[in-house]
Amino acid sequence: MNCEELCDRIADTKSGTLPELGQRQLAAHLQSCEDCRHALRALEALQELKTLEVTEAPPELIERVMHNSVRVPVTEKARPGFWAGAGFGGALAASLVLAIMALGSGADPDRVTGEPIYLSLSEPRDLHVAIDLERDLPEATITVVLKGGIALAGYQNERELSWKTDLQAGVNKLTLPVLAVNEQGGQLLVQVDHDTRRRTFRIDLDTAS
Amino acid sequence: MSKVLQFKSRGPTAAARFEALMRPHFAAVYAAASRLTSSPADAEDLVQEVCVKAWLNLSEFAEMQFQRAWLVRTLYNHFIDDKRRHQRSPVHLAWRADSGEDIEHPGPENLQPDREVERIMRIESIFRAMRLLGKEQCMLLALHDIDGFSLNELQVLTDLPVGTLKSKLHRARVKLGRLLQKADRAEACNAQTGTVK
Repeated sequence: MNCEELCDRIADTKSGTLPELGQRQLAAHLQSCEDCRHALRALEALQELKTLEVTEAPPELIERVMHNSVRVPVTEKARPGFWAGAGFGGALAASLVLAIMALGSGADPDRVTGEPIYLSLSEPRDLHVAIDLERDLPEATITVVLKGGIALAGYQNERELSWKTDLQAGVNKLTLPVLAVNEQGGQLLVQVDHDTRRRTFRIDLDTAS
Repeated sequence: MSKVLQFKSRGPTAAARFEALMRPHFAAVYAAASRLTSSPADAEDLVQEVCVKAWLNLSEFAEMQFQRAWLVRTLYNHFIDDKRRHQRSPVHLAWRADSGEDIEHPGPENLQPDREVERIMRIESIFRAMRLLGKEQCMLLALHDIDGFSLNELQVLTDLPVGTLKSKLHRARVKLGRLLQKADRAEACNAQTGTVK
């Protein structure tokens, strides 16, 4: 029996000891094998961690975690051709491409898009923001802030949403289902943070008359 | 390659599906989290991160053969990364020997306070040693030797053959044993220095 097999059988007994293997055989091996003595020490230590008392999750905690989880925006890969269609009519005529947020070294720190976008009351419209990157940004934070009489479909009561996502080099597309809740108009801020860098875009939104 | 960040609610059907998939594993995931953190708030944060990851990868998660093992692996992964990022102790004990506070997690009821202090210090020392292992080694030991996931489950999770996993586990245990021995020696040396003063 080699060291790995011995160690494996010790672990398989779950108790960290090995009555089945035969104490004499084990003792003889341990006497001559320093590695197995270390492995046994580790198994006994890990066994101790199993004895840690574990608190049962309170029902309200389960509900809270579940509720918070399903509210996190979903990241999905683009279908081929999606981006081309979004900006130039066709199958996605109701959509608008709002801004290119370049996070490259030459990008402006804060940008405001040009003309205001017009929304109809209570009719969600998919707005696409392109985030163009020179390199991958793992665990970037995207924050969307809504001001005035606009809201995100499905998140009508939220004025600010923030989440982490892995952004990839190239064009990343953020799709926001925006709707007007009154005739006041409003502003949408999209902010991308990574390490100490931040870029914010402001998009003015008006209600179509 | 670009991708779309779809800022859309998946709707009640997906949420219900997610909950149905997640609930059977919640206790195991929470147990692993509470073992690592000993603070209910930290455990909740950790579980929240894991649940969000499962939600964001709902399609893949639903298809997984060993969902629980994936969840616990994700939890350890996040825990290790987070601890390394913040360089904090892996165990935040609610009670310490010099604090005079009540013990929140007293462990087995029949333990005397002195023995309980030793036990807590010992557990801290084990976690510290585990943190010094490579990420893969730490993960394999935690999944197999603490949480009891089988080699077959690990095989699916890691894409490694069982033979390779056995070798890796053995090497990880040997390394952990060496680190523990080193820590014990350092502690004994410190204790000796303390008594000589």
